[in-house]
Amino acid sequence: MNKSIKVPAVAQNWNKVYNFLKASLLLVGADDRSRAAVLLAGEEIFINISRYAYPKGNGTVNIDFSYSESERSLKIKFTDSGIKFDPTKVPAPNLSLGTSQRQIGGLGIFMVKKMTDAMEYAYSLGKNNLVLIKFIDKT
Amino acid sequence: MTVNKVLESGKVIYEISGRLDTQTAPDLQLMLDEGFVCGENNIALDFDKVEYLSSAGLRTILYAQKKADSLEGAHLEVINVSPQIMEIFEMTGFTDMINICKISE
Repeated sequence: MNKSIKVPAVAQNWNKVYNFLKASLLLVGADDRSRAAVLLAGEEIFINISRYAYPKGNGTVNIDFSYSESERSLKIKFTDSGIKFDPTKVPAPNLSLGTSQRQIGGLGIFMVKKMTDAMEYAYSLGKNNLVLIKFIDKT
Repeated sequence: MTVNKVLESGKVIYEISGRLDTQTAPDLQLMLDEGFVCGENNIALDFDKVEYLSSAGLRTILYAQKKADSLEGAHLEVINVSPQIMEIFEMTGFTDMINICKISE
């Protein structure tokens, strides 16, 4: 199964992306936990691209959703032509700090790593390509 | 997301339904701020009907906790948390910072 969506990279489009991912996840019969994990990871990545990839605005993001029945794996690939950024290199936040010192920065990418089984990044021909891989159970 | 605000014996309960994410978290933050202004400092965030929580939602909760810490007699708790959402709180270390109660069996 293969589906894709291309939208302007602005946070207001998260709703469209959410609906796209949710419908795709339901179509392949992903279980509740996998669905929640992929939606959360998808939001973090999409919002990051929307906020930081195109400082001058006017950029798009392409999202490919594919599912392999034999491997029971989902691949969600985000492609943008914005600033080069490799989220796999973002260091983990310090979770042991108390409330007053805690910042949310960096937490999003950390959550994506935790919620998916693999995260692969490549930069080629002026494009960021980020693939999230998630092995799923079926409902 | 919809939020139903209930006042109950000195406590204000925000019953949140739906998604607490990038799109909706700022609305909750606004409501909490309005509450703080009115002295509604004993707060419960009821997560019974929360479908989904992202880092934007966490940011709002952390904001409210910091605000509560800075006000004398203020208290914040998150109640009726489902196992899926509990996983997010645990993973991010929020269980060490915030009073979080699981959903009652």
